[in-house]
Amino acid sequence: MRYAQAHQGVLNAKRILAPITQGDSITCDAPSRLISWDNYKSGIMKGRYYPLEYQRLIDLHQYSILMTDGSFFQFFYQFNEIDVLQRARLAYYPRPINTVDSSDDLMLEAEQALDREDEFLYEHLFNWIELLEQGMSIPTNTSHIRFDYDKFVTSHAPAHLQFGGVQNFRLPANFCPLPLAFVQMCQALIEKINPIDSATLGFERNNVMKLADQLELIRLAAE
Amino acid sequence: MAKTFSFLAGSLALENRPFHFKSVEIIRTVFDECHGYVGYKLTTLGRASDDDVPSFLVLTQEHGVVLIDVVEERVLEVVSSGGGEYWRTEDGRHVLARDFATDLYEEEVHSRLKNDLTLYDRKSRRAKTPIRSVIVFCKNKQDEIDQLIDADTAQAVGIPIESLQDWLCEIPKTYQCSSDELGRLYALLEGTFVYENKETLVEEVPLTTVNEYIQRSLRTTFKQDDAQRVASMQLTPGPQRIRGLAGTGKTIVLCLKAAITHKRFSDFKVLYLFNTQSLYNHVQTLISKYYTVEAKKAPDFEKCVQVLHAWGGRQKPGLYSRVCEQYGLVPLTLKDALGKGDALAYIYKDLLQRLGDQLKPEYDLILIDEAQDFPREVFEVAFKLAKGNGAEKRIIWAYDEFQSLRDTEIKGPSELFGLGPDGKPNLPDSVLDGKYAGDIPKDFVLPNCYRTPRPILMTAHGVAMGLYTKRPSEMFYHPADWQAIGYRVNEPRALMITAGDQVEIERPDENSRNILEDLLRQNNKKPLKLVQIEGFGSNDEQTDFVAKKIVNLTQEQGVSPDEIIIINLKSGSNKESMLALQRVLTQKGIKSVIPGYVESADVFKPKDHVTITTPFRAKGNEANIVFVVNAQRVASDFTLRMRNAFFVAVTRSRGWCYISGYGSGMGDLIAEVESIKQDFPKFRFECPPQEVIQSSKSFLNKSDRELGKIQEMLELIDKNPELRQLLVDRSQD
Repeated sequence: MRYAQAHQGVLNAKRILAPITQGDSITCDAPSRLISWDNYKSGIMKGRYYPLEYQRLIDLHQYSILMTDGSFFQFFYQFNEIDVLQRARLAYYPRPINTVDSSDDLMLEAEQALDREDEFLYEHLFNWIELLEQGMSIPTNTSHIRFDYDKFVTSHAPAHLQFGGVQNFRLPANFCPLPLAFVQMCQALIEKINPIDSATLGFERNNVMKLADQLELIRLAAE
Repeated sequence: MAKTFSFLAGSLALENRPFHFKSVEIIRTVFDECHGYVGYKLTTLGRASDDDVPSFLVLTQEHGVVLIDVVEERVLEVVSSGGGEYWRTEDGRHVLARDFATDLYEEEVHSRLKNDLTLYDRKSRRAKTPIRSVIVFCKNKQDEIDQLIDADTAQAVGIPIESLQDWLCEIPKTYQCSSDELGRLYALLEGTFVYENKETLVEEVPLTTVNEYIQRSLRTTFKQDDAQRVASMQLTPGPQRIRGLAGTGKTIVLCLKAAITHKRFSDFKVLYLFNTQSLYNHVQTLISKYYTVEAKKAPDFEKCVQVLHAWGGRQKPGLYSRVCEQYGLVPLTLKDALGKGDALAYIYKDLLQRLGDQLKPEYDLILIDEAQDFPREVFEVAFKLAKGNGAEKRIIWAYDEFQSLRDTEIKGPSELFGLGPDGKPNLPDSVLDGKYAGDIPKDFVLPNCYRTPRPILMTAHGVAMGLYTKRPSEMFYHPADWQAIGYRVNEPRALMITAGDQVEIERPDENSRNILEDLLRQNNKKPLKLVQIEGFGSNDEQTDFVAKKIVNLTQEQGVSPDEIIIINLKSGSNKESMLALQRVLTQKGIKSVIPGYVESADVFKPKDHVTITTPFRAKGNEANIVFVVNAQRVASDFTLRMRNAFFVAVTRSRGWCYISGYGSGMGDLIAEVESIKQDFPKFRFECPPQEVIQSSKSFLNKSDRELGKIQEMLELIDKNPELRQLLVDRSQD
């Protein structure tokens, strides 16, 4: 994968998502071989309650494409001066979705937790029950999904899939995808998206960045 | 004819100084025809204490600067000690010799004038403005005075109070400076020059783009106008109300009052209460700027001047959270107040119920900004927290005049400040009648609007009041009320306007300080184009128009997207309509935010983004370009809420305003706006009877549910001609 292909890749994603695009902040900077978004801020928030993390990113416009259902994608690719991919980040942030448990459900669980002397869970559930009964707030357990690539990282696999809520869980991969391939992975989560079939992904398939084979959990089948 | 010589009483009304009042009367008589003012201890010019300041500073176009120090007590002798000169008075005190103090102060006046080369000649090192000083003795004879003041060394002359009038009359009227120079003199000596936007030398380029016009209009230096000056420089011994439209300088007036009080009475505890979170820094900056120059130190925001939001957040203390902490109460949270109507009213009511009479008077002065946004419970708490009894409590509140449209009427003190134990109002409405000693009006009006250009403001007023409809929704029958919002009644020439009169009302140019209108006229452009209204066949066409116009403004006219706000008047499913508008803008490559719906509510006007919002959320904000969309319901809305929303929306603009809507409803509104433009800068209409106004307003107090039902009914009638006939038949029976 080179800058030109990543650029084309991001345009492909933009085209496919156009009918459900609410906001677009994609930036493509050819001289610095960087694909990012306006006012890019690095880093991710760790240990934050997801609805807060989500709102903060929306407020700071930290997205490439914001969709009509309120979810958004981040596409970030940085190549060096000889056009070798250094870092990439593809993330999907769904709109926080409330859980459906009733306060009775939680109460039952809380009582059982108390029986098990699991005070942490009991306290936690009990607080939520209070809030639920006042009609104030409903817990969510949504989190973001992201695909990271870092050429220089040594402590874990350079390419991996990760979930926002579970920080140190990484599914190593032997590739780094183009944007639309990542969109396709997430498409079941997006409202009103036109289904992306494999045939649409020819460019993405041909230009995926493959990494040396190790013992990755997710791997591209040999073609 | 307006008076040209005013009196800025400062804190004089708070002090017991009989000879000072007498002197003021003499000064005012002598200078009555002059242009300028006399101020009591207006400014220390950075001197350490008020004792070092002469009693009165007189500034006039005719005379220049005259310093007058009034010595109330009898002086016995001069004592020199440790490099200073002191006077021993008959009550045995030693005070700094007044001639010495006044000389020092005169030097400070000199130094201030050095800042402006139209007032100071660098070559000769002399002020171009004449400066004279006099010490007025009230209990010494001229021969004693000659012993006290050495005519050879002192700059100031000493005279007995009996000679004051003659002495003043003899000052030659040879200065004759321009009113512009007088303005600079004011700003330099009062210290308000710190608020001027320092003009860096910019080359004058011919104006072509919209943005160039707006930027040029914003580049004018801030100068306090007379009304603001008088309001700021007076400290009242009791309650005062400051009224004025948005953009008339209410906040700056309150900030100056806070800073001056803090300077003059360093042991006073001042509370500055406000409602919009974003005002926090603004208020502190305004107070600091003035105070720091005058006092040569930073204001004490911890102990003496508390700038507090009514509620307070986690990081920033508010009055509510502070009081709770002080009295050991667990504060209610936003959560507790949800669904209880006005949240602020709920928590303050709770506070009153829990603490009530335990609340102890604590503040010497309470300033309430944005008073129209506060429920009466807040005022009641403020009343309890202010020191003094009843009408001695120094509570000053700034009220946005036009809120009288939202409520049926502006709320008076008797309604705001609650009832006493005897069931009578804590403050009767009459506390605002008349004036305090020193000619300080208890109800003060700021007539000049700085933000909104005149064509836009008049469109907003005209539509909001329904002056060009069959059923006007607001009418002022007293010319003074028109004056209060910056208009002059040309016809009828009577004390009262009565129903059936042909009325002509004009907004004088000088009451609109936004110079955009003049700039356009100078360049042969039509100022009325600042307001444009257009009707479309469908929503899509309207959206397309807005998007194209924004592309033009940002790409051809140099306007930055964050200086554009779009205000959606659609009630009901307004979120979806704002999102739809945003999608169209996105397609055209224009980024936008919808604070409170997508982004958090405080994400207003972020860089490079157009802001799409509602009238409610736009309150308190301003922008160079304002689009008011979905105005199709304004003309037909019987509840007047739409007309109010229209007013708020349109007056956000300090440049251009584009009004649009779609469907048949637009015709009436376009006709209204066009007739307003036709008569510009006047309103011409027939005065409606009071009953019509009352019945128009009667819907303002109805609940949403009632209004919804009425609306349904009206729609039903509109759709069914036979129903209409039935109603007509019935009403004839």
